[in-house]
Amino acid sequence: MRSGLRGIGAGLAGVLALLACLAAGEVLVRGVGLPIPGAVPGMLLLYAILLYRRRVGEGLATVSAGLLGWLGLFFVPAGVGIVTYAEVLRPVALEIVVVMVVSTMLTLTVTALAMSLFMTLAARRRSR
Amino acid sequence: MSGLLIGMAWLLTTVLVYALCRALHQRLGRPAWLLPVLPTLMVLITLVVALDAGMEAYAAGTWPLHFLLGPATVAIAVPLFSATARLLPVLWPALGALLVGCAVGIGSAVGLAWLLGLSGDTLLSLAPRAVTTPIAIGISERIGGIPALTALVVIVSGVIGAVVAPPLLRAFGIRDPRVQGLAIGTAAHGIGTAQAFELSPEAGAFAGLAMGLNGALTALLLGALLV
Repeated sequence: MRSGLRGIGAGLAGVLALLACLAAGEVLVRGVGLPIPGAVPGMLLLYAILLYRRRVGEGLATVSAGLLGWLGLFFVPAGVGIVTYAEVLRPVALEIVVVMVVSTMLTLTVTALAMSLFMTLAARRRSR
Repeated sequence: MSGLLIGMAWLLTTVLVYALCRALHQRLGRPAWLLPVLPTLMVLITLVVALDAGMEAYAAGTWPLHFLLGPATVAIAVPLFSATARLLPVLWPALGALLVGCAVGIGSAVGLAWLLGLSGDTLLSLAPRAVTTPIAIGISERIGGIPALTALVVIVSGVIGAVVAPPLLRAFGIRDPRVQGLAIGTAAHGIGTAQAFELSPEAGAFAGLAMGLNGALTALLLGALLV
């Protein structure tokens, strides 16, 4: 394991890169007035930077892997909030389950068939 | 006891319960139906209700975890970048399918919810169903849904997708790992992606890519529709 000040410095640089992209995304979303989370343009900004630089810094790679490895933990506060809505949601629970099951299966199947079709079309066009 | 101490106790309890569930999940070979967030939610919801603690006290203590959703969403760019090289040979079919899948993902959830008589914030909470949880929670907060409902719906949908995807894709004769992965990532985000890695590394890479891009696309599409 590589330790010491350099490792900490790289880790801090990774944290700063994530926070800077997040802040830029928040500013953009509020400036334009879009009803989307600032983290989405933040993610696209970081993606664009990585595509341009063609490499991921060591610190950013470590910090990202750490955050994504514990991603489920960060959903817990939002999920626990359901207790506030238990009474409102109980009568429509079955409907919500139906939406989850049918919509997931439909999205999965249509996406797979669409990509297969587009790949066949692209191959046919190339061979012509 | 002061509010700060109560908050700290909730924060520590949440992290501890999750860490235990995560260790158990890894020991059992990472089954999709036992994703650590599911038992953690059950334990903490039970605790909050049993102690009559109130959501405000819980949220006041655990805000650092909720805050980390933002940087974690930005961090998705890193695996997205790593998978990009594999995407280039099938760029246009993949982007086309992603657009179709994004529209079907939103349309089927909202359309079905409407047909079943759901409306208002419940209906809006279901719109980002197919998207990765951190983005879905953010979208739900911004479009007037119930973020808590969105979180649960997205997590459970991911588990459903992970379980039904292999047999469903087999039934339709989908054998290309790139197609399998893209479909799973579009329909069942990160939880499906973990399952796609079980099929093959290539399916996993495409699932991760589809998850990130579908998250961005859905946010932009819903944002544009609701401006």
